Amino acid sequence: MIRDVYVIGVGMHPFGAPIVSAADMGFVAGVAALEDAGIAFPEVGALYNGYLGSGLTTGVAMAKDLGLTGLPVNHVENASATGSSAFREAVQAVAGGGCEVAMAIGFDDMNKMSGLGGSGPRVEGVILPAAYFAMWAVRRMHDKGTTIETFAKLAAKNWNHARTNPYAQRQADHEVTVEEVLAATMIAYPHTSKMACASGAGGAAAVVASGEYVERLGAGSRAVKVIASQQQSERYTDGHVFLGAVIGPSEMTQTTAAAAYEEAGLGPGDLSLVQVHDAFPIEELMYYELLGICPEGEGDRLISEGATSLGGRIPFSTDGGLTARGHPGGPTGLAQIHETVTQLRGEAGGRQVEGASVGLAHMCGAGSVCVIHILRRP
Amino acid sequence: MLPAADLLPGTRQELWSVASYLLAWRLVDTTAQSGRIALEPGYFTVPEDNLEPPRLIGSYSPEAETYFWPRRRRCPLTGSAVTDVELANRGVLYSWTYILVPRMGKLVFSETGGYGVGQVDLPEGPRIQGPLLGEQGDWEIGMPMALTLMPVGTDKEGRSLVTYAFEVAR
Repeated sequence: MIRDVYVIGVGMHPFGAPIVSAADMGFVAGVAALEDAGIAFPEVGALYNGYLGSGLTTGVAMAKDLGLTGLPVNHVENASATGSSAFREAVQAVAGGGCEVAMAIGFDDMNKMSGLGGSGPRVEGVILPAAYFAMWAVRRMHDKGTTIETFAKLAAKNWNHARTNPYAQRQADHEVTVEEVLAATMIAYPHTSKMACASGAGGAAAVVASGEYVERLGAGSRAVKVIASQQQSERYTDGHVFLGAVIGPSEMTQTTAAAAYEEAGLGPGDLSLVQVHDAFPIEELMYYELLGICPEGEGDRLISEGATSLGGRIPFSTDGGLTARGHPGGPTGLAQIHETVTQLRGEAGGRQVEGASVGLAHMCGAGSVCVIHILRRP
Repeated sequence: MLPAADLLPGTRQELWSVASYLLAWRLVDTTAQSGRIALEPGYFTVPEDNLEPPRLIGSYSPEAETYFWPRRRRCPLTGSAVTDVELANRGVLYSWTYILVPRMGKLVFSETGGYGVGQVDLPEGPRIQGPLLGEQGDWEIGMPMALTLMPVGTDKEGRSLVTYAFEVAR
């Protein structure tokens, strides 16, 4: 990045069943992020709205209620990675000197979307995301001996992380057990419904600013530095699946992470907490290895040892992840930024990671892309 | 700066050439006269003889010596031209699952709402993802699989729409 960029404000509308429109949820999250930053909308020099299914011009229309200031407003869409990509655009706008303050707002209602490639019968229509990740899981069980119980334990961890997150879609009133996850409806062998991400509605937003602006604002004590912002699309691999791949080769996470670690000047051992695209537990398990948290084939041990639970060596999906915080689409990646910033400020309450100093947020998007941000505490 | 008059004819010609190519690429007729038609054209053949096995239509890049499926506009490795090619109709099962709750795509392939999905490695290299015929318990990684066609409804004229699928090779 040409110049330093800081997150100065984050905001959310709770994820779950929609009470208001998706754009309304984006508006609520946007206002919350501005209030968190302690600035007014006219300060914002560029706005990136991330949504998948809310319709033409929805973002620019929603922005009118934030203020008719004449700022450039753009729509960003990258499937599950939409919010992460919108955030990255805001970061790049400030890093490149285009403006001093930029904003990303994500909003969506997953239940109103037609799905990948439209709703009509298509050759690709049979390959659901649930099927794709289930095939990752079946292959993993074959190659490494991973058990269904390990997937269930990982999912239960994320359900329980969400219990102290007021914005989470799934807030269990009891400690969720492995047995409970295993007993839920089977949706795509070996995944049960309690292992699948919660698809609902919601909004999330972040405000980023230059170092000069942060100094002028006197916001240094709560400003979280963006020390890496990387995005990649697919590279060709053996066994490359072109049709119905959902998120392409898993190696994309490995190469995007390598670029992010290089940009940040640190390694996986320096991370305090991680958010990932845990649409299904097989994903989080594989990302332990692909992000370099442990050697290949040893991810299962992190689960059995509780290393990625709150209180463990390197907590993953601290707000419940896609599994329990939820995955409405557009706002999901920005919810990860919200959680990472909240943790690095030491404001995460009952789910606070002790001494959190560096957090990584990872999202994959169908098509496919991978986006990784690394943030450092004030 | 080039005068617009010099630039435009060449540009137009090139654009037309690309457009014609893409039009031809889209219009490859893979529909047989057997009353069965492909759910979407260009992905697989539908032989007139129901007993004849179908073939997936892919691309071959002579420069990269690599096969792809589905067809590519250009070679994704070298940017060079590719040619259409019919791929082997047998392969090895790489992974599988059985879906019980269709969520996207809105195609339900059995009355129970469940169906198999697998990834099959063809001898030429491409890994093909598609529906599997059979029930959970029928499949094991490494099994030989054969390409077939399966009905997925009818079109407005009442003709049977089919898509490709794999079944355990006999």
